[in-house]
Amino acid sequence: MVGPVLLDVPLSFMHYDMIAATGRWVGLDNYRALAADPIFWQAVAHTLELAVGTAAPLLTLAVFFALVLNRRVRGCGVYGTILFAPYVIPLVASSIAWIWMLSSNGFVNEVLGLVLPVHGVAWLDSSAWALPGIMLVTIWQFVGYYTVLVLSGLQGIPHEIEEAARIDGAGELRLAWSVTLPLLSPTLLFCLVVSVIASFRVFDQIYVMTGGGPGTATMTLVFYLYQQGFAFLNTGSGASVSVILLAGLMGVTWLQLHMARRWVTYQL
Amino acid sequence: MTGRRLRRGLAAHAVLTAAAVFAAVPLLWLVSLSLQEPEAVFRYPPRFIPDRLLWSSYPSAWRAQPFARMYVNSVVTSTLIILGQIVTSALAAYALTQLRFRGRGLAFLFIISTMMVPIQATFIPAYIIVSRLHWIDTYWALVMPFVASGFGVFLMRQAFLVVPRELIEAARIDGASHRIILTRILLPLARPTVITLAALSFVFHYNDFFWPLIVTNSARVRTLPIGLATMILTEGAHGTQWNQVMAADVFVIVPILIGFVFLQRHLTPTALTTGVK
Repeated sequence: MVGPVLLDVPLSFMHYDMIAATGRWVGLDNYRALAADPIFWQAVAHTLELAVGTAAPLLTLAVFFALVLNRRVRGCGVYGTILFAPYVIPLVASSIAWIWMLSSNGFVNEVLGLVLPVHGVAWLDSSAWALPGIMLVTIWQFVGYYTVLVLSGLQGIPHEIEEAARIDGAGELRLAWSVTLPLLSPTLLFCLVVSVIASFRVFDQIYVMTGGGPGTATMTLVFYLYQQGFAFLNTGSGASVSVILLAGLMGVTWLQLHMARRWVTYQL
Repeated sequence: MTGRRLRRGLAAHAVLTAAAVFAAVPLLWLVSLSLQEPEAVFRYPPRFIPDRLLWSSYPSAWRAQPFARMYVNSVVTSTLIILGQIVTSALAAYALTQLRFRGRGLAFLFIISTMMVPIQATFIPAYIIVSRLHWIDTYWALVMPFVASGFGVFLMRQAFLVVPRELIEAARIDGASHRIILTRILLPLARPTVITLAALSFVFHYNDFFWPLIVTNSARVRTLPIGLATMILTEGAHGTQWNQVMAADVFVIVPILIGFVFLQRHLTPTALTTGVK
């Protein structure tokens, strides 16, 4: 059902009445209104923050867990299953659980209190911590998924190459950094692109946990699109946000693929 | 040597145990809260093991929203979507792998590029189309937009590509039609992929929230995630009954977790290595 996305373009130049199903051309009015709305710019910033704040930890953790799982210790199948399980749960359900993981008396603060001399805040009521809270539930939900992806990438690496490096006297860290990671880089690129696309789509967590708030602290482009298009019935404005979302994501994806030439190694 | 291996093994177990605890704690906390009094969420310090188990939250939660109806809606619409996707993906993959036609490469490129579109960017035009068709608040709106999937075509094509050409040639020489080749040779050989597509698609649509939220407005067609979200957003006379919300959360999660545990042996890892949409 991706075809309709093309209709966003004409709609974004219209004032369209969803109920009467009529519209009139208004040129760039919708875009001008967006550019003049500070909330829109916050949504752009939060979307980018969310992309970095979920993709980077997700990939780091996934590589770490996959390297450990790949040692095939006893019971690694069970560990893998438990780690993957959150992926199949409805995000709405996870978000409800995480509301009370992140409350001021919640588990996250309890655990942090054990290691750090901090008095926990109510994450979702704090404009500084609400967005990291959204990142945390997203990481929890998807870390097992990316671990499985990286693990299958690891298992595609021929044993001979690692054996040869070992015989040449490479230590464990050296082996991981200079041999395994470069051979894994195509998988990592794939995970990076997919996780950034996924971060642009985050919606359920925000709807359930913060409603874009407090204030506009967790307003993202998709949530802004929802408000404009479906809560306020500004169809034209919602369509122009859609166009920007799509163009922005295409730009970001292109940039990642372009930069990939510098760090992705393909096996001969 | 054994001492070093043992230490490394222990370190691996420590890391994996920490990861498993990280994954499991929110779910255990959910179960625990569902069995305590509604105010337990506000208690400081939090109590993990309930004093006594208050099972009454479960029947109350079941009555708070028409959950029986919502189960039916979720399962029926997800199943219809899966069936549609298997049919359309198999036909498209057949054309892309077995037939030669002008623009085949371009068609494939277009199909996989759809996997990169953030789905919500399509919602405004899709909503207008669906409402013009008078499908708002019907199963049609929940099912029809998803019966074709770029991801499904991609997966199925990968599976068809590894079937040896000689097999297809032999069947063709024996006079097999396109329909026979697809249903008797390719699809049975692609069984693991079909199962994986079905499982991933079920998870995605059973869990889907944004689209069902905007195209439904009555309990008659609403799905489980909407029921859950409605429970926290509509406060009763005594505020949100958090133990009931948690109980509802548990009975929405449990069936899909059980399904996952039973099905995971059949999932092909290669199919998982491609993003789902």
